[in-house]
Amino acid sequence: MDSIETVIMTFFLSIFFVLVLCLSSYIRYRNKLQNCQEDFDD
Amino acid sequence: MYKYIAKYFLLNKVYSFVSKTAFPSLVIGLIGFVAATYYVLFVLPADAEQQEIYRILFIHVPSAILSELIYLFLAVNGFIFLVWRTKASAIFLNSAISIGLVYTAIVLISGSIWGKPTWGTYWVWDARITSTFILFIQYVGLLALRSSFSSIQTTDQIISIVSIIGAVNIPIIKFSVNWWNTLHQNASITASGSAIDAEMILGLPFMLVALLFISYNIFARNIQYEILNRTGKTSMIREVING
Repeated sequence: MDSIETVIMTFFLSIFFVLVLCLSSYIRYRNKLQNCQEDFDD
Repeated sequence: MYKYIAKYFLLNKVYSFVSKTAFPSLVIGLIGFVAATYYVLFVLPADAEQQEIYRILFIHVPSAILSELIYLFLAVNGFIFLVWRTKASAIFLNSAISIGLVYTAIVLISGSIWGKPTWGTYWVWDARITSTFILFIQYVGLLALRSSFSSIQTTDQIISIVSIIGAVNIPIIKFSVNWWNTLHQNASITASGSAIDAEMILGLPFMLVALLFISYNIFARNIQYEILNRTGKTSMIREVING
């Protein structure tokens, strides 16, 4: 439990959470942008 | 002053600025994170008492600082919105909640993993850990409130008020280790000096800055979404989108 593997796993888990939020924020923005552009085209 | 702020934070200018800076900040942040991780995992020596497990503090402490600073940022923007009714503050407030939630989750999880070999338990209901858990609940509550009202104006007002009231928890988190007898240790870095070796302490600001750059990318994308959500069908944003 007190090994370097545990530390690496914790770092990996932390950046994974942050990057998932990064990706979901980007996808949410991208979808909204597409909707707006479709509205303009109409 | 108000006119200056309102003019400076015109939404089309904010949208253009965050569009240009979002991706570069992610690249800088990721490079910084990889470099900081390499430094704290493989360059710094093991601690004499805690051995390897002390390295978790290099993700735990920056995340704790960010989770508290982001909440203060919410409260300040909530106050500005309630007093001056600037749309930009409401957008900043809405855009930062999810980031604070993730960092608070990281603080609680990394602290638990560190606590097992060091304290012999994953969790204790001491003042620091409990007040941080309350901060996590506050972020969840703000996210829930955000999607509870059909009117954006009402939502902005409610979450502004709640974020200002909730800010009382931040000094409680900060000073809990001084006010009460807790299992969590006192601050290692104070105005009078640091209990951490100078070589080791360098990893903390290094990681903090890297995480700040990555967080800015999320913040920027959330701002873009919020602006489109509020003004997406107006000619103002149409010009911005079409460049």
